[in-house]
Amino acid sequence: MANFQLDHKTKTDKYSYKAKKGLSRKLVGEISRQKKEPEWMLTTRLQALDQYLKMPIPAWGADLSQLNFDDLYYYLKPIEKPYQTWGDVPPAIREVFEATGVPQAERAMLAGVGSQFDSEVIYHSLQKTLAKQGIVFLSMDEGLKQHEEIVREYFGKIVPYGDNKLAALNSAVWSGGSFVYIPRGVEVKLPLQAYFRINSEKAGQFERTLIIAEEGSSVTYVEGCSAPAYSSASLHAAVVEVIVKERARVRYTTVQNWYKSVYNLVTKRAIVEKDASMEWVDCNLGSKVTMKYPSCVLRGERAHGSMLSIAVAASGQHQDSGAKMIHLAPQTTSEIVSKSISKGGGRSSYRGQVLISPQATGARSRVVCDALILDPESRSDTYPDNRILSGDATLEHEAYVSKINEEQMLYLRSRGLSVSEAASLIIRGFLEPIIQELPMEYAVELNRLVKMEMVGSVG
Amino acid sequence: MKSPILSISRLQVVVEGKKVISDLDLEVAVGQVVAITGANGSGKSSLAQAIMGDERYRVAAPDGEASSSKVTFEGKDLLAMSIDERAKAGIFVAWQNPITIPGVSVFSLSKSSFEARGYKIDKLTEFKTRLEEIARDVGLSKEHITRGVNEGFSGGEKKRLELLQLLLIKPKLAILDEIDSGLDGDGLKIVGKLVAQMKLKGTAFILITHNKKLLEEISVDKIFEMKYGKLSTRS
Repeated sequence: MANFQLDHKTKTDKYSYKAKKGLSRKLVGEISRQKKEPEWMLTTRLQALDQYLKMPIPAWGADLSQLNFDDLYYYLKPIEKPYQTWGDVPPAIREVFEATGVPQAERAMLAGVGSQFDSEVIYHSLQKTLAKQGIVFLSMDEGLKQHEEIVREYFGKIVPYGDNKLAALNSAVWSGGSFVYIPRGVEVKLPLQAYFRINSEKAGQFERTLIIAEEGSSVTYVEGCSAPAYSSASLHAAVVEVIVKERARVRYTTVQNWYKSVYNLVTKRAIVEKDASMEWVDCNLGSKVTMKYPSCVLRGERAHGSMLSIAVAASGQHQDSGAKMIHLAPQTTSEIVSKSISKGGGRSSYRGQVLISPQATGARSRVVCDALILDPESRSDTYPDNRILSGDATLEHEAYVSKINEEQMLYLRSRGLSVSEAASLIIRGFLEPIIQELPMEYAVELNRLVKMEMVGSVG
Repeated sequence: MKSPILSISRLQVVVEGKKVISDLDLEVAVGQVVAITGANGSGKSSLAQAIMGDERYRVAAPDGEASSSKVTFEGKDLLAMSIDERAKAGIFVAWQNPITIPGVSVFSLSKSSFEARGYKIDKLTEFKTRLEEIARDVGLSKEHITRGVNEGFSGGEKKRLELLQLLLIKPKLAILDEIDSGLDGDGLKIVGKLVAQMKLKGTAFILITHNKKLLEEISVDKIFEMKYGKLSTRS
């Protein structure tokens, strides 16, 4: 199996273009010019910039006061254009990716791979048989070049730039990300994978992803994120828009292991049509602060949305995550399962909303929050916001906060396991419902990262 | 008598401030099978827990005196060892009420406890095959191995899982704490067969039970009765 790793090692300092720190109209124009974009995209970017400057920094959720928006590089271009074979990728960058195991994983088990390095996608591939079926998997920049009409139809329609300050920022300076188009009735069996790497200190990464699944199609999209160890803050502010048309199924899986100086402020939303299904699987291990609440707008009858998430908050980390399920049509269903582990003074919060509108007759929703707190210094909170405006809808909400079970520890120790071995086995058991939903190489990596994180944390 | 593997002298055990075992002496030799019977609450399970090393069962002295409790395992001071060190040294306790651990598979528990004792696994596939064979021997299915530890197991299946671990680990000393409760006639026969087999290879046993049927299945070298935290020889 591929030795897939989301680590904090290897880095390089070669760029083909590196903008000065800070944000300006001139910079936004320069990004658009370098990308040779159509006029409407530049207009959108500049409108979004105006909106960004008008909006306040969110006062709710995690503390963002330490993040200096003027002390960031907003555009870092490592190479001129993406490569299609790893052999062509410059050695310094290739080395970073070889260390992550992405190229090896691609050979073994992926339908397509995109790899982003700071602001740009440096490598992209799709199996030829899939391309022949009409599947499109490109960097967002290439997507805009090759399929401008489709991008223009959907870009910013699911997450408009006025949605929130970070979405506005992303819309102004976006670069990279994936463009995925799955034609009607096509089922993609293997996952499409994107790998995001922040390389430079004080870098901002603003990828933009758009996934369109036509009627009756299905796809699994997997992303991994990591960054080298730096002491000063970096910012990752992505926007992901997904359209799941009638009877289509999309699963979007993330394993995030940013270094603990990265602010991870992400907006993800899906529109889910009749009899369609959208599943978010979200694993947050890294970052200093994460604020992320993937949403499903259940717009068609019997549409289904689900969110399965795990957050690990260690010393100095605040994982503020959750989900939003907006029921707008009859018989729609949703499920949120949110698990968290807090340790060493770390803080995890579940912040979620379930809204069942008056039209959503017979809608059902279930929310389960399950928090494991490993020591008295750590903290876990839940902020549920559940609104039922339909008479015959049902909503179940369960929340558990627990410590490691002493009897389980004793039982395992009586079988020869040390305190830390026993604790890590119990923690793995706690995570198992999510790990079994991950592709193999991600499951292995998540297990490894959690194990590393837990060394010395119990006993 | 062969050399003792476990030697207990003047053992005192206190649980939540209450003395449950006082001045207990016991010697168990390599390959010897000892049964301890007695009424509920007489201190049988407390003895098992104290040997296992559960910190809630404190080995203590009467007020104001230095502790005279002495327990050696293969000549080493057992009381100085932690619960996992005792397990690694070769002590296995089959729990009276085995614990459920959601999400941790029987396979994963077996692998961890096997490796914790210093055994090396060269091929996981072979290990799995072996585990499946042992499961069959104790009356469990392959499917049980993939399930969470005791998740959805019946009372009898939980006990069979304890037997599976016993057979896998092959300890030097096994303490079976009311292994019969929850087991049917077939289950008791399995215990009898297993004790006879393992005894031949040198495993010593302490059987804690008040089930006459179990004692009929097993050839026992010595039977003690426990009353108010003290042992007396029955035969």
